[in-house]
Amino acid sequence: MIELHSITKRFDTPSGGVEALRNVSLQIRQGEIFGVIGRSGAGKSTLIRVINLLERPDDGGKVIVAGRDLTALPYSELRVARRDIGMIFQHFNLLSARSVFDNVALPLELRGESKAAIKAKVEPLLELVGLADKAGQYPAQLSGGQKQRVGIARALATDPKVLLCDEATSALDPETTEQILKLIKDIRDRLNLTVVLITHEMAVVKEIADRVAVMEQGRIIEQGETFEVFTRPQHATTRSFVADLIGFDLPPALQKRLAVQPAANARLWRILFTGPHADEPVIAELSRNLGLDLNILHGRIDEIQGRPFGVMVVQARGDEAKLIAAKSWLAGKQLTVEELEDVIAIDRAAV
Amino acid sequence: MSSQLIALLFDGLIETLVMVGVSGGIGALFGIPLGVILILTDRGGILQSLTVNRVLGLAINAARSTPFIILMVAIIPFTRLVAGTSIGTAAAIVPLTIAAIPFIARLVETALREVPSGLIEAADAMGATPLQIVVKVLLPEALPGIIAGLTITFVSLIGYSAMAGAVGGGGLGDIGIRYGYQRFLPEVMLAVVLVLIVFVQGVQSAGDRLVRKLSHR
Repeated sequence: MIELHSITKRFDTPSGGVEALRNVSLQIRQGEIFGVIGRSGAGKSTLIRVINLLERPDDGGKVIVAGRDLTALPYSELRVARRDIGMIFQHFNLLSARSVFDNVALPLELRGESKAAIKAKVEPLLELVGLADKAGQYPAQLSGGQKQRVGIARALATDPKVLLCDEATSALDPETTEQILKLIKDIRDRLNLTVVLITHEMAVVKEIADRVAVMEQGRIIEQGETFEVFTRPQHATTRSFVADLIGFDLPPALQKRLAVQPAANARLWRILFTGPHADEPVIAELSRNLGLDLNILHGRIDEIQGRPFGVMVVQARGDEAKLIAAKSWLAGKQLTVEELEDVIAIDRAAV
Repeated sequence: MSSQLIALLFDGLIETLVMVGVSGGIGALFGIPLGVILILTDRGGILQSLTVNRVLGLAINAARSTPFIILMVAIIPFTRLVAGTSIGTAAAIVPLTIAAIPFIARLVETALREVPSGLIEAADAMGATPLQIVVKVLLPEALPGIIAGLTITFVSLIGYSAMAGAVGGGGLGDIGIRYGYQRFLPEVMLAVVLVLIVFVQGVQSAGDRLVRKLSHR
C-alpha cells in the first residue's frame, strides 16, 4: 500500500546539516497497522511526513501510495492525492473557530462538496467516533480524547485509504490512549484502512501494531512482526524499548543483591515463554520431574497481538547433570533459556 | 452647556467618525492583505519569498517610522490628486489611510503568527490550496486577533485625526485646538476631551466584546 524507496532527508540548520532520514526503505501492506517507534530525534516524525509529502525527500527517494508515485506528481495532483491519506496529530490541530461539525466538514469544503453532501457525510462520522451529541460544540469545550475523536472523524471524511497517526496518543492519559487506540483498530477493521502510527511509547505499539519498525538516527534498525520484535529484540535500542514492558532486565536492587551474595551451586536463568508451550506449568514440571529447586526471582506474563508471552528469571539449584537435563528439556518445549551469570558477573566486578 | 457648543461638538464628532471610519475601513482593505502576504512570504511560510517579504517589510517600516504630521504634509500633492483638495475632512482621510495601512498590516501579521503552524500543516495534509489555507484557516483562526488589532487601529486613528486639524481636517481634535487652545475656552477643551474619552471607551469595549464573542479558544 505504501512503499518508501531510499528516502533521505537533509535539513539545513544554522549549525550545519542534519540528516533526519538516511536511506530509509519501507513497505507497508494494505490493511495493516504499522508502528514506527523511536526516541525523539530519531526521524520518525519526518518519516510519517514523507508519506504524504509534507516533507519532500531529497533527490532519488520515491514515495508510492496506493500504486501512485507521489514524488512524481505535480503539486496540483499531489493535493488531490492527499485526500487518499488522512492524518491525525499529537496536538489534534483542530480549528478553534469552527464547531466540531465544521471541523469534520473542512476537508469536504476544501473539495467543494455541497452542504447536503457534507451533512450526509459528517453526521455518520460523528456517530462512528461517538461524538454525535457534540456537533455544535467548539474544540475548547472538549477533552483531549474527544478532540482526537474529532481529528479522526476529520481524517476519515474524504474516505482515505491510509491513516497517518503522528504521536496521536502522546498528549493523552493512559486510559484515553487505550480508548483512542481501540477506536483506531476498530476503524481499521471496519474500513480496511492501512494505518501508520509513529510513537515513542512501546505500549502503543504493543497494543495495536501488527508490524513495527524501530528507528534510530534516521535509520530503521529493526523491523518485523510486533510479537517477534518484542520477544526477540535484536538491537540494543529495541531491547531498551521493550525492556520496561516485558521485564527482560532484573530490577536494580535484585541485581545488586545477587551480585553481592552469589548463591553457591545455583544458576540464574531467564526463560522466555513463547510458542505452543508458553502456557504450560513448566516450572512445576521442572521441579517435580527433575528434582530441581527453582526460586522465581522476577517475571512478567503478558499478551502481545493476542499471543501469550512471558519472561521469568529463576534461580535453579541442583547438581550439574540435572541442570543440563533441565535446559535441554526446556529447549524441547521451545522455550528459550539464557544464562544470566554474565550479567551478574559484570555487576559483581563493579561491586 | 450652550446648544451652540453641543451643535459644534456634534459636527466635530461626525467628522471624526467619518475620518476614522473611512480611513480605518480602507486601511483594513489594504492592510489585511498586506499582513497576509507578509506571513505567507516569510521564512517557512507557505509561499516563502524572502525578497518580497523584505521589500514589503521595508516599505511598511518606512511608512510607520514617518511621524504622522510629517507624512500628512509630505503627501499633500498625492492627497490633492486623490481627494481633489488638500484641506478639509476628505483631504485628511488620505494621510490617515496611508498611516493606517502599514499599522494594520503589522497588527494583522502578528495576529496571523499566533495561528498554530499545526493547523496549516493539517490543512496542507488535507490538500488545501494556499488560497483555501488563507480563507478557511488563517483568517478565521486569527479573526479575534485581527479584530483586536483593528480596535487598536481605530483608537490610534482617533488620536491621529486630532492632528489632521492642523491641515483643516475638522473633527473633534480640530475643535479642541481652535476653540479650546487658540481661543482659550477651557470648557470647550474639557467637553472635547470628555467626548473623546467616551468615544474611545466605546470603540474599545465594542472591540473587546466582539473579540470575546468570536474567540472560542
